[in-house]
Amino acid sequence: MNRRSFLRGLGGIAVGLPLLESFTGRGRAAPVTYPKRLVVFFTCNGVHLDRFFPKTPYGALTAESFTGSLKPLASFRDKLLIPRGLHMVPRGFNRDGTPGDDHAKGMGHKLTAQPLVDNTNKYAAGISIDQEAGKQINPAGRSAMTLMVGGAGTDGLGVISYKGRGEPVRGEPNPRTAFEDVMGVPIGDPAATARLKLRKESVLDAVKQDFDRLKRAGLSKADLTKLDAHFTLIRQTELGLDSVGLPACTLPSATASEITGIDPSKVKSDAEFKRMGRLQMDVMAIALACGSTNVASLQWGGGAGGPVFRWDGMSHIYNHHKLSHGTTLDNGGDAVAGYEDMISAIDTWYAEQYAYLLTRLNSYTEGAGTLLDNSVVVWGNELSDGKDHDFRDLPFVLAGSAGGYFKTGRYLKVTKQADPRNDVDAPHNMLLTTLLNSVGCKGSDGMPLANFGSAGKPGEIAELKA
Amino acid sequence: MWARLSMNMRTVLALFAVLLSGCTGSILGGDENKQPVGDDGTRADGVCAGVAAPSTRLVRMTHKQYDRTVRSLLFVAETPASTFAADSSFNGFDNNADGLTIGDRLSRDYQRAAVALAESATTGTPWSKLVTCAESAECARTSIAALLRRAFRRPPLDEEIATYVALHGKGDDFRDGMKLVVEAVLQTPSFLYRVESSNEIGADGAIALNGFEVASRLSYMLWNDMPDDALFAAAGSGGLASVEGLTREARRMLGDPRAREPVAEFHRQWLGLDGVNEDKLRRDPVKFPGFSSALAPTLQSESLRFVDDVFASGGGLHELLTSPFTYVTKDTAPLYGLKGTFGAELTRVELDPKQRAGLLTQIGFLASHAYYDLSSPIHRGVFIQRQVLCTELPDPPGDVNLKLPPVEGEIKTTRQQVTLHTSPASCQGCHGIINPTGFAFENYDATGKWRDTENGVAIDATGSALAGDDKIAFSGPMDFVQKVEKHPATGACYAKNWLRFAYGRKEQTVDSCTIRSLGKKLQTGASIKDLLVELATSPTFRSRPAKEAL
Repeated sequence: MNRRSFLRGLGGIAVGLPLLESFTGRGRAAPVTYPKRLVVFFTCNGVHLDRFFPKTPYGALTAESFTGSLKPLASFRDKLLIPRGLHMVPRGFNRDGTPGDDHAKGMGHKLTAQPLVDNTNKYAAGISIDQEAGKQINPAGRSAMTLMVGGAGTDGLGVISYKGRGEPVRGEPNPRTAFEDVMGVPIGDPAATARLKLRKESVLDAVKQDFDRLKRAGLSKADLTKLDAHFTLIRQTELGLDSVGLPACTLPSATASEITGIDPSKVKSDAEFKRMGRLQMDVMAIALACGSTNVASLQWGGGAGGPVFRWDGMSHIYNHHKLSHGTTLDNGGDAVAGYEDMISAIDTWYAEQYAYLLTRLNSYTEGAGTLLDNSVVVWGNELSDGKDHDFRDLPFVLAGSAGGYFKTGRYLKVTKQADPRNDVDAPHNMLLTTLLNSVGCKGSDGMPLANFGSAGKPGEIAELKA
Repeated sequence: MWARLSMNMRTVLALFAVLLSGCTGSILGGDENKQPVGDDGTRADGVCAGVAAPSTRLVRMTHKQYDRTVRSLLFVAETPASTFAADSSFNGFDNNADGLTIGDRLSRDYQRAAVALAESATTGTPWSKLVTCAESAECARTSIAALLRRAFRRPPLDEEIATYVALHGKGDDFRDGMKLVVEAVLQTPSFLYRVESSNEIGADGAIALNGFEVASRLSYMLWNDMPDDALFAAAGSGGLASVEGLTREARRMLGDPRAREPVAEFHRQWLGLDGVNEDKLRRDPVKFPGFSSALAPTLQSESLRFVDDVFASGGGLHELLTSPFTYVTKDTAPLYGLKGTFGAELTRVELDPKQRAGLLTQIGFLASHAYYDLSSPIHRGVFIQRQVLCTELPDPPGDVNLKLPPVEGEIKTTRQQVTLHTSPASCQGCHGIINPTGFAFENYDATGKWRDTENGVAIDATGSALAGDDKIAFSGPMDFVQKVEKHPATGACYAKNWLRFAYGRKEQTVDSCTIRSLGKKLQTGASIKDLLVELATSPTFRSRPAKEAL
């Protein structure tokens, strides 16, 4: 299935697609269905918990709910859903005896609800929600879009997304590469694209012969599977050429030239953290709008790391991880005076970025609503209270109703315990199950998914649903 | 696939078989192969059998190897892999085959790079090396055959040549046709993977790899690069079929400057030298006015330069851990208490042998394992136990209090602070091992500078630390380093890490004998070069098990 045909299958994305607009304009009353999208916005090192959640009572979100770190989200009040009292599974503080330290667990467990495979590499033991949804609801041949901002460790501390047991999917840090992946060809090469397809087919044919010859060489089953998967990828990316020039997959020219001018060697630097983050969100929004992907994740920095924030009114000396512990060193060191204000400033800044992404998604009209309404954009964090590495009372925020699946505009407690900081009855894998079902994922029996991950409890969090 | 070998290839294989059966002293032939072999790879006569461990037949190039290979293959200057989707490290090294997978992003990266490289390979100097004859059909065929031989690192099959000759014909002109050929070749599995197709089971029950497969293993292990002409020639003439021939080639390659990058890369990852960065080296400017975290890149280069010196001059583990010399600039010389004039470039200097001995006493290691204002016996101890002695230590519990008790009353030194802080019985399981190891380095402050006292109290760097199953008593850092260097656990640990890196896989039970034996050799005078020759000539390097993984 190439991109043109799947776009057709969507029944007409109106934004920036004059051809399809005129097509529907001819009065053909095709029932319009828009795809549902799952978007993960992921930050690290925990938050200042006391200043994060609304101080208003559980129930409807009001203007007064947005006084703390979530202040930048006030205008999205009706589209937000803030669950309180979730705890991570497998649990932290070594309570379940699974491998890894709390930072590694916070990264590896969060989108998988799986333990880590071992303490050496710190990779999760199963697939993550974004990759699972990518398999189920993405156009054939397109895996979930996996982006990141800044640098992170090369082991499990630097990754949240998994294709399977011990198979990390690292976020692409360069917006230019990310956009070229959407387009299928390098930016700024339009003259060549006309003949390109024919040439690509010739190249592909020669490459295929090499694959075929190798497959006859008596390889093991595992190696054959590896070759097959590799060839499928090559063919699919070549076929992706069909989509060249689709107006909906085009960036505004100012953004495109900014992206073209990126110095790849600076992409992971602290100095570029803010700008790369914005460009990644621009690319992600267009990819979701033009049907290149229905699933995307954006990881900001890595566990036990993060940039030194020196912009937008922040002039920190220590990086995010150190400040999360209020110390001058990653392990110990002296106390940093005023660190609480510094970490809540970081939390607020991330809320602004989240709001920017929501604004971008909300700007695409889809039927009576917007792209955001057809999506669920979940903001998750490696930890809850960063200082203690706590895994309880997780700071999750949801935006968008996934086409009416969620009842938004609410702040609600999903644990039966009085204190939301508990690990009794609301394991976070139930949220993952709910998120996957909200965008139409199914279990192997073709029914809504009963249970995601290998830890926690089966079932959805019913209170979140409409 | 091999049923239709070209003439050239058939000759090579025939020659290979003759050499194998004829050679004496070969590790692959002889009656000793019929002896029973224990689970840990030890034969009945006590010698390591070098049983081949199961592995994939298709090892993808690492990104570093890709960059070096395209430069050698196409004579271009680009390093496109620096922007590829990053690989994940497994078991401490980023060249582990488990991490060398291809997803849709990397597949697109390869496509983009192939297009760009095909462009630069068909212009300027690279073009004059790619095509050395007057443009004609015969010239296309010759040029394609030459390219395939180097790209696939073996003689191409006739049908392979035919495939690319046909593709060449689809170009707009001669040059454009070659562009298509390069673009396709760079995306084939025969280029991107080191393919090991040999499948004839020998007398020892293993499959001997053919000369070209051994050549590729050798050049990617020793150079991170494709074989050069001399290595191809040795592979084609059966020169790699005997231990003597293989040793000769390995020695030649280790003398080449290209051997330095993988050696540096190994030590960078084994010693965690990425940790010698500005962030980790930030120090209290009041307590340490002479120190600046901006020195981090120089301090990292110092350790790598030291390793390079030891390697190039034929040194080994003994020199790495005990040699009292290093490299300094005018900025780092004072940290070692050196007086004299130094420039901006790293210069070799001799240090006081009563205060310095090798890598573990260099500023980079000591300062990157320290606090903002204090030395850290815990960080130093954990690192040495895990990385140098290969002791299995779990991570600390998540909710542990990291703040050391203050210096007051009876508590006057860092050693006392750490001892008190970790005194509960629940801590002692690990800290009973960690602390004494780290205390050996208490003569070095948070910036790695030598000290005899702390807060007016004489430094106590004595103790008794775990090494393997033994306790070793030591009187100070020099004594500790000398004794640890001689302990079998250290040799085996260094050898184990090298085996992981050199073979791109985790060690398995059958490797245990090899690891022990290599460790012993390292501690009886073997150099890093000798170790690499041993790794290159071991039967496990030259063969595959008849049964594959999975």
